[in-house]
Amino acid sequence: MIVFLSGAELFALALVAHVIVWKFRLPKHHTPALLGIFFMALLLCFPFALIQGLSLTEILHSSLLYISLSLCYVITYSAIEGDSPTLSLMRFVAEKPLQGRTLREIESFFAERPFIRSRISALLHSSLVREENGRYLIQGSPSLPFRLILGFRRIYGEIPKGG
Amino acid sequence: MLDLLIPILSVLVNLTVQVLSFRHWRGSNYFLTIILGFGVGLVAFVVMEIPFLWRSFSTDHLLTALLVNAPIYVCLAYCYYIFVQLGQTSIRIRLYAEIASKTDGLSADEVAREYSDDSLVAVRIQRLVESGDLIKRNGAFFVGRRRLTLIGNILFFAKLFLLGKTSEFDQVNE
Repeated sequence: MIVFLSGAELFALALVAHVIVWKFRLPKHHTPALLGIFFMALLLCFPFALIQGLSLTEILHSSLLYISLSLCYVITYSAIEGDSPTLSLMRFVAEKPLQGRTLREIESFFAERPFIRSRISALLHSSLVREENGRYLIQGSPSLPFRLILGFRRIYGEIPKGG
Repeated sequence: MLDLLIPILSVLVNLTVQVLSFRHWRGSNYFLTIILGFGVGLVAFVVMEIPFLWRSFSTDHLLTALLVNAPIYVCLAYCYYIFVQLGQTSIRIRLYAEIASKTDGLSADEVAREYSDDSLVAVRIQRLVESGDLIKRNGAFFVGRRRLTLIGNILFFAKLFLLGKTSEFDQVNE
């Protein structure tokens, strides 16, 4: 039980710290800042866990619970930070449950939301891609998560276009 | 110490089954492979937990299995699902992979041709109609299954609470 309580309490504390930081000042790069907060919370609470008399196994176990919950939140946060075209479309259609939405309405809804341009901007903003003479080129080497996703994609083979 | 490894091993089972079944069906039945991977991983989780609890049963061990190990497995399986999903549907990942695959990169025109907002809409609508989330009736689209609307609403309010806006395009539309 102590493993569950310590892991869950630490996660709740990190969430509170995240909300306070976000309300005080939004970071420029959300995901690295979020990962930093969760990592710092884990580091800062480690001495307290030892003082409380938790064994190394219990600390490892509650840390694993905490890391799993944190990863879940960070991954879900990316959908909070940027809009999902699919979920935006579903909410737009749901706004008129009786009349529904015509294709023209949906197209004009998406015309106001330039997702492709936004994702290109995000790649430029995070320095993964650079623009040179009107062409987009890879900048440096991609981060580990990016390399992992790209590597895993090879297992899956060709993916239909359209994002 | 061993019970710490149970959720990690279960996720490895999940991953292996999902990849093998995906390759077996040559890319079709994608969601079925996700569910199959999760299900077999869950069975592996239970199979590994039972002997551990049998050997040294106590309320504390049972609570650890239910409140710690099971959530760890579900969280890691969820992370794996999102990880796979990113490779499948993320526009950013697709664009990056496309740019990386060409030595001279992509021009803005090529990006517009390959990834137009129109094709983005068409693919989304087709997927949603096929999955039953959207229904097409008399030339209009209606919500079929409400699950995605519910997730969309939760994220909408989370965005409003955390970021103080309702869409990433708020500043564009103002």
